[in-house]
Amino acid sequence: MRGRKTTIIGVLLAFVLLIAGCGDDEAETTTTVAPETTTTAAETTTTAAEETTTTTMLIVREDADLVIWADDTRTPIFEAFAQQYAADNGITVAVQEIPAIEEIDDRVGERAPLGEGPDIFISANDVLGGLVADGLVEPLDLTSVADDFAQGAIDAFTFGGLAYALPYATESVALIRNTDLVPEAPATFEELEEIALGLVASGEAEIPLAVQAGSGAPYHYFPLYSAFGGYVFGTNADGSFNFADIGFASEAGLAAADAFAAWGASGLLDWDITYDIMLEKFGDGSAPFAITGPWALPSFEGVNFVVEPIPPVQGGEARPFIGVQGIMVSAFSEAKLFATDFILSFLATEEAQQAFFDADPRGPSHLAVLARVQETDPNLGGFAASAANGVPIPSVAEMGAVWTPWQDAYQIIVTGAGDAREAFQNAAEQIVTAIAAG
Amino acid sequence: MRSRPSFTTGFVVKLLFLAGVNAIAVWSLPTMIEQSWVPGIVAVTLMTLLIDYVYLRKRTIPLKYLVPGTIFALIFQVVPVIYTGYISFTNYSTGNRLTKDQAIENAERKFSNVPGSQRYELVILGQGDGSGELALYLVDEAGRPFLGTAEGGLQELAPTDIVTDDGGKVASVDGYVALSIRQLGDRQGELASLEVQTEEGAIRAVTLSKAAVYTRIYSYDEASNTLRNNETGEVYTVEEGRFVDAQGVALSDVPGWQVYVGFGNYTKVLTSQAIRGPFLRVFVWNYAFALLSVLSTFALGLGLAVALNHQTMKGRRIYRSLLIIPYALPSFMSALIFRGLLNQDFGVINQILGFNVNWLNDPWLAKASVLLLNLWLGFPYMFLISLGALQAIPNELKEAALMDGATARQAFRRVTFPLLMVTVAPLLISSFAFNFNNFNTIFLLNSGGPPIQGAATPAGHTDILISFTFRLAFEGGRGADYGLASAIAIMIFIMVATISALSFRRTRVLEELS
Amino acid sequence: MTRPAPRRSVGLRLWRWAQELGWRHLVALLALMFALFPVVWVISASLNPVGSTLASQKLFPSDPSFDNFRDLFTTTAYGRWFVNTLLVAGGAAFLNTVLAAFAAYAFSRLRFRGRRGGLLTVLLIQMFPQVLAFVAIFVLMDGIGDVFSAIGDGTRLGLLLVYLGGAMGVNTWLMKGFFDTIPVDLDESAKVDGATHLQIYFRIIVPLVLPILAVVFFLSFIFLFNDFVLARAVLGVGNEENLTLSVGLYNFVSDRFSARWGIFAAGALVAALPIIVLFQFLQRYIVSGLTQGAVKG
Repeated sequence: MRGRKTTIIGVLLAFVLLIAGCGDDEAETTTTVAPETTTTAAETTTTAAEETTTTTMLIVREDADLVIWADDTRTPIFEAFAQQYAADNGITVAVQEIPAIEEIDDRVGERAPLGEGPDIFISANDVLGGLVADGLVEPLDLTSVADDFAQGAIDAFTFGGLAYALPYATESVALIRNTDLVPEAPATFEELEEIALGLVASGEAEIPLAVQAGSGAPYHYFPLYSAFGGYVFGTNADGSFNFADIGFASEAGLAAADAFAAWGASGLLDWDITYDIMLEKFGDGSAPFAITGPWALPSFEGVNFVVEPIPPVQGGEARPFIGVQGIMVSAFSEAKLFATDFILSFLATEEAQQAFFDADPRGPSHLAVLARVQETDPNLGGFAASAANGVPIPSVAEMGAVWTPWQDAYQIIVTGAGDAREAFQNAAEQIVTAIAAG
Repeated sequence: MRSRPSFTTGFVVKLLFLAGVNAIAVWSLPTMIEQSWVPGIVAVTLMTLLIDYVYLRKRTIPLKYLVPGTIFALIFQVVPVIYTGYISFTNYSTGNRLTKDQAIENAERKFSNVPGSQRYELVILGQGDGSGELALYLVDEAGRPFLGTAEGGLQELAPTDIVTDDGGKVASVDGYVALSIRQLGDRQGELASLEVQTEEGAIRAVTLSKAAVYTRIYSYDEASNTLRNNETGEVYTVEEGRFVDAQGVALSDVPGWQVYVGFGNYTKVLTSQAIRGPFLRVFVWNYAFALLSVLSTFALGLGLAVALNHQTMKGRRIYRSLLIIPYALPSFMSALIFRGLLNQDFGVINQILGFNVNWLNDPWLAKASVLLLNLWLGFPYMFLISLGALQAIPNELKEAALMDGATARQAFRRVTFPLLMVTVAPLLISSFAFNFNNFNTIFLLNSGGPPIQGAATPAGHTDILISFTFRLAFEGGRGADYGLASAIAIMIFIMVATISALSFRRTRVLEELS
Repeated sequence: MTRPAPRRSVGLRLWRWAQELGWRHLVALLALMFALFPVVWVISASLNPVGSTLASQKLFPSDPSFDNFRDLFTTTAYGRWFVNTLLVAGGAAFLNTVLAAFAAYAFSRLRFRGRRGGLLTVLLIQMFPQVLAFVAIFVLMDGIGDVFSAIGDGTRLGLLLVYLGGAMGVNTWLMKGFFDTIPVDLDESAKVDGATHLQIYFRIIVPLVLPILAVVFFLSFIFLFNDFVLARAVLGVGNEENLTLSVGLYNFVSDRFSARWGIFAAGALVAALPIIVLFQFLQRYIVSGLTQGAVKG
C-alpha cells in the first residue's frame, strides 16, 4: 500500500476511465451501421438509396419515417423492398433485426406502448389473439389483394371479422419418408406402423418414427390426434369457440388417448426424442419416417426422402396444425398510412412474396407463388398438400392455457405413467379451471 | 482529533466528488420536471441531499462507508421490489396493459369495409399551401372525380377544377394542393381519423393512393361509460378494466386497461383451489430441494477446499482452476447439456453405464437429477468461499489443537469448522434463499416434470413454488398475468425472508454480531 | 507437517505420502472427472462443424474442425461482446468489491444504531425472486434512459450501474466475517497514534483483507460475467455491438429451428478462458499465507 491519496486517486481514475470508455463506445456504436449483419442483402444494399435505410440490431426504435422489425431471415427481404420504397417516396426506412420471430411480439409489447416500437413487424397467427387483446396490432384492410392469397392464410389472421396481417408463409408438418428404407408410400398409418416397427426389429432402422416430443408434442402429434376427430375447443352456433368444451374429454379425444397409449407401448412414439435427436436420427438414415416441418429439411440432405401427407389413421384424415406468418402494422405506429401503403403496394406483390419464399422455403401464401412452387419443388409441394387439409392453430389468447396440460397428458400417456383416458380427461379439467380463473 | 478541516488531497477529492454529484442533480432536474417524472425528481433530490449531509458532517462516519453501496441497492434492488408490489395491486396482464384512453382509442379505430362498396383512387390534399384543412381527391370506379372533406362530405368535381402537373398527376383542386411526402408523413395521425361521410359509409384513406368505404364498429359513450357495437347494437359496460357484455364476458377483440384491484391478486392466490391443491407437496419438495442443494454443494465444496488447501501439494493450483470450470460456463447451457446426457434412450450416461435408467421421467430420479445438476453448478461457488474463509482461520489455533493431542480430524471439527461457519453460515442461508427460487435449474433441466397425474392444475414432480405458480400466472386463461405473478413473487419473498430470518436466529449468527 | 518425519523404509514413506498428499490427489482427480465430464461434450460440440444438435452430440465428431471458432470471430460480433463483458463485468466487480469493502468495514468496526438490522436487511433484500425483478428493472431503466440517455436502457454503463445494486448483501457478509478475524487492537493502537478512520481503513485493514477482496472480486466477476437476466433486461436483444457474452451467445440458440449449438459451444468455451486465467492469477492472493500476517501484527 502506497498510502491513502494514491489509492483514492487510483480508484477515482479507474472509475472515470471506465465511464469515459463506455461513454465513448456508446457514441460510436449508435452512429455506426453494422454492415456485417446484412448478410445476403449485400448486393442490394449498395444502391443509390443506401443512405435512406440502415440495418442494425436494436431494440429501441430507430429514428426513421418507417421502422420495420423482422427476424434475421426476413430482414434482407424487407431491406431490399424498403430501399425501393424509400427511394420512390423520398422517406427514410429502417429495418431492425430481432433474432427470432417468436421474440418479436414480446418485444413489440414491451416497446410499442412506450413509443419505441416499430411501425411494421412480423409475427405468427397463434399469438394474434394476444396482440389484439393487448391493442398492439392495427386492422389491415386486405380487400384489394385478398384474391391473390390463399383464403385459409387470410382467415388465420382474421379476428373478430377483421384481418390483421398480410400472410407470407403457411407451414405445417408432413410425413417425411426415407425412400431407401421405405420405397413405397404406406397407404394407412397402420401400415406405416407395421413397416416402421418391422425395420427396427430387423435392425435396419434404429427408431421407427422420428417425431419430437416434449414441448413440441402437442403441435407435432396433432395430425394423429385430429385423425380421430379430436379438436381443441368446441364451437358455438355462431362459430365462436366454446371454452367449456375441451376436445380431449370428447369421445374422439378419448379414442385418440387409447391410440397414443398403444403407440407409446409399441415404441412407435418415444418421449425421449427431442428436436435434436429427431434431426439426427432421420438425418443419418436411422429412422424410416419423420413427422416435422420444412424448417428441418436442411438437416436431411444426406438421405433420400420424399415429403407427403400423413396417411389416414384408423380411417380418419390426419390434419396437421397450420401456422401462418404475416406482416402486421403496430397500433402504436405514427406512420400507419406509410406502413399500410408499403405493405399493400410493395409486399403483397408476387415478386415480394416470391422473395419471402426464396429466403426461407416454407409454404407460400400467395397463390401464384404457391402454384409455381408446387410444380417445381416436390418437397414444398408435399408440405403444401399436407397443409391443404390442415387446421389453423386457434389464435385466441386462451390457447395459452392449453399447451402445458396437453403436453403433460401426452407425457403420461406415451411414457405409460398412467391411465391414458384419465390423463386426457384431467387435462381438459385443468384447462377449464385455468380459463375460468381468467 | 483535528478541530478544523485541512486542505489535504482527500478533502479536495471529496469536494470534487460532492460538486460532481450536485452538478448532476442540477443538470438532470429540469429535464425530469419537464417530463414530470415525479419518482425520479424525488429520488434525485433526496439522494443528493443525503450525500451532501453525510459527507459534509463530521459525525456521520458509519454512513460515509455505507451510503455508496446503499444508494445503488436502493435504486436497483429496493425500487424493483416496490414496483413489483405496486404491480401486484393492479390487473396488469395480457389484455390489460394500456391506459383506458388508449384502449378506447384503439376500439374506435376498428373499421369494417362495407362489402361491395366503391373503391377510390386517391390523392391527399391540403388547403392553401397544404398545411390547412385536409381533403381527399377521389376517383371512383367509373372514373368520376370527387373532392371529399370532413365537413363538406363528397362533392363531384368538374374537370375544370382539377389542375394537373406536367406528369399528369393532380397538383391542386379548388384551393387545395397535393401534399408533399413530407407533409403527408407529418399528418398521418390526422389522416387516419379523416372520414368523408357518404350514404354508403365513411370514406377513408387505405394507402397513399387508395381509399375505400368503411363503417366504424365500436363507439364509446362517455356519459354512460359504455361501448356500443354499431353493427349489432349491443352495448358493453365496464368491469375491472374490460368491456363486458350482458353476461359478463369480456370483448376479446377490444383491449382492456390497467386498473387498481386492491388485494384481488392476493386473495386469488389464497383462495384458488387450483393453487391450494398441489401447494403442500410442491412446498415440501421446494424446501427439500433448497436445503439439499445447499448441503450437497457445501459439503463437496468444503471437502475439496480442505483437500486442496495444502502447502506442499503439487498441481493444486491447476486442480483448483479446473474445478472452477462448471461455474465459468453459462449455466443455461450446462442445464441443457445435462438434459441431453440424462436422456433415457439416447443419453450418454445410460449408454456409458449400460443402464436404462429413466432419469428424467421417473418422479424420484428426476428429483435426484435436478439435485445432481445443482450440485455440479453450485459446488465451485462453495469451493471458492470455503477456500477464502479457510484463509481467515489462523494456523496457530489448529496447530495448538494438534499439540494438545487432537487428531487432524478432531482439530478440523472442533476448531476449523466452527470458525469457518461464522463466516460462511450467512452465505449458506443466502444460498438457501437463492435455491429456493432457483427457477432456471428447475425449468431448463426438466421444466418441472414429470407431471403429477391428476393434479388440479398443471404441476410437476420437480416443480418448485416459483416455477409452479409462475406457470399459473403466465399460462392462464388469458395469457400472462403480471399482477398475479407479482403478488406471488411478493408472497414467496416474504416466505423466504421469514425462513431466512428464523435461520439466522437459529444459527445464532446475529447474536455473535455484538 | 509439524511432526518429525521418520525416514525409515520406502513403504512407510509411501504410506506417509498417501496419508498426507495422496488422498488429496485422489479426491482432486475424482472431482475433476465429475466437473469436467459434461465439459467434454461442450468441447466436442464446438469441434463439430455441422453441429446443430447438442443433446445427442457424439463424443468424437465425425469431421472435427475449428470452423466454429473461426466463424465466431469472423461472422459475429463476438469480439465486441467479449470486450463489453470484460469492461462491464470487470468494472462492476471492481466497484462492487470497493463498495462492499466500505460497508463491511462499517459493519465490522464501527458501532451504530441499526447495525444488525442493516446487515440483515441487505441480505434479505437480495432474496427477492430475480425472475420477476426483470420487468421492474426494465421499466426503471426506461425511465432513467429518458432523462440520462447515457446510462439508460440499452447502454453498457447502465448495466454496470444496475450491477452495483448487488454490491451490498452476500459480499458484505463474506467480507465482514473476514474483517472480524482481524484483531481490533490493530486499529485501536493506530487510533491512539492519531490516525483517522480513513487512514486506518486504507493503511491497516485493506492490506490485511486482500484475500477476501480477491475472493469477492472473483465471485462478482464470474456472477456478472455469466449474468443473463439483468443484462437482457437492460440491453434487450438490442444493438448487437453493445451486447454482453451471455446475451449474445443466447441469441445463437434462441431460435428453436436454427439453433447454432456448435458456434455457441465454441463461444462458451472461449468465454470461460478469462475466468480460468483470472483465477490462476488471483489464487496467489486468495490462498497466500496471509493468515500469518494477520496474527503477526
